[in-house]
Amino acid sequence: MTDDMQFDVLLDSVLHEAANLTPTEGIGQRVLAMMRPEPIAGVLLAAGEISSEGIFASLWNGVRGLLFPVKLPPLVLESQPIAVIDRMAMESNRSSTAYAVAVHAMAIFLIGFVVRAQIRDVERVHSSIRLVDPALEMMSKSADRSGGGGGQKGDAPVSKGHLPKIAEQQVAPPMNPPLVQPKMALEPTIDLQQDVKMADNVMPNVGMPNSPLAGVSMGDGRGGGIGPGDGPGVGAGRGGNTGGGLRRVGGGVSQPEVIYSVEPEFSEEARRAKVSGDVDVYLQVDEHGNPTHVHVARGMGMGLDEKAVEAVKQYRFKPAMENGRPVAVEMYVVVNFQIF
Amino acid sequence: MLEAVLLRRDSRDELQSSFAGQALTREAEEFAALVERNSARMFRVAYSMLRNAHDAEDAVQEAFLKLFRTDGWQRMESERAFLARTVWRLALDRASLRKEDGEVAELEIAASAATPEEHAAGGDERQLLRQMIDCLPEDLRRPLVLSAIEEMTSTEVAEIMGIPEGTVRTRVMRAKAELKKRFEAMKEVQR
Repeated sequence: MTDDMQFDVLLDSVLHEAANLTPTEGIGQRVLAMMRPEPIAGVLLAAGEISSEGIFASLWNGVRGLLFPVKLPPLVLESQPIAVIDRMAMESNRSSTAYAVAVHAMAIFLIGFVVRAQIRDVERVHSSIRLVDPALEMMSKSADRSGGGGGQKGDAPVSKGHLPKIAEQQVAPPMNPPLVQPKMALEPTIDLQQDVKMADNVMPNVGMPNSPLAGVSMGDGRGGGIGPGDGPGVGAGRGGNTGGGLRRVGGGVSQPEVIYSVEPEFSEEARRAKVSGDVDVYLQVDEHGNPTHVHVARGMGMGLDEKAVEAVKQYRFKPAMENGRPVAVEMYVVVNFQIF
Repeated sequence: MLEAVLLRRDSRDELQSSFAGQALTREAEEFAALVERNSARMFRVAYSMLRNAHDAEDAVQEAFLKLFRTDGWQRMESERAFLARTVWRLALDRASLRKEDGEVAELEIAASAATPEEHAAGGDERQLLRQMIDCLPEDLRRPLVLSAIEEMTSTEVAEIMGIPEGTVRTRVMRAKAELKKRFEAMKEVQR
């Protein structure tokens, strides 16, 4: 303690001495003397100290100096450098260096940790929508609601008659009655589900039992069935079986084309649970290409169903075409959610 | 008529010159007083930077000369602070010029002529301490020496150096601590 005080006193005294140096006498006078340059110049001029040599003398001196330079005595270095230990150098302490490095590393780690905690992981999310034909197994199994149809490319609608035999393999009856009866006639069949109970009659010609028309016609449909539809079934509609209602894609009905699509969003819940999978959405595309009756046919929960419906509702289509006219079709859409 | 005009003009010139003379002398007296009041202090400020009495005197002279020429001294608000700052900047210019020229500064490090009294009263220690002060880094040494000048407050030092007052105090404290550390280390070595 006393040492400290002694040192402080000593330091103060030395500092005072070093800082409060007395300037040489008359500094003020000299400064003031410089303020009046005229008399000094006058004195110098009077004493003749300032005189310039003539132009020829100056030239002669220059030439002489160039031709016969005056040799100056060599400069001899008399002092020798002596190596001394620099006791005033800042010393570097290993432990303090290590400590500093550790503290910095800790600080950097902490900052990194905090920043990392603030960053929320966002997985790359990929979702897509695929248009599919309505698969039969997704449809209701009750036959009266399942569509179908048939017909031949006749000019008249289907006439009244009895239904052909029901079989899995359809055999189309000839469009016109044969002139010569075949020896082994193949009975025409239609593709109709076995459990469909349809009214029938015992009329000689093949036709629709409920047709109001008389005559011989298999209908104006296509596909070799009976009726105005398209396919090997009976009645209006398309494909096998019987029925009507909405068209389905295929045959003469072109698939609606997506002209505006929206990427479905991931729900927060599904993102956390990292769920991937498909959501099947049923929809009808009307004649104007707008999706209607959008609902989930097979969902996967986690809020993804709603997101899928939301996305599909914003879709716009080029409507399905049949014979050059837009028609409403029903279809399924598989919305695929994937998380990586 | 002509004579009268000439006479009048002469008398007018005379009058003007005498007025000018009076004004000049009063001005000169004022300036002389200013120089007398401040030269020692300014010398110390310059010396704390340049560490060479000759250069310090030159800096003081230059400062006064510039002031006189520009008439800036008549518009000073705070005489002490203004003059100290002026001479400090000039000294700074000189110091940087010296560095640029690669000229080895003739630093009067620890005046070697120690008086017999100093020798008697631990002159070695004083000598050592002065050397140490001279060897401090400039950013520590300057505020330390400046604040040791008589009648110099840390506010003034801050103003002169153009740094905050808190910084001045911190640096002075650091300088003293550093000196103490080195001094004690030196003592250990000597023992």
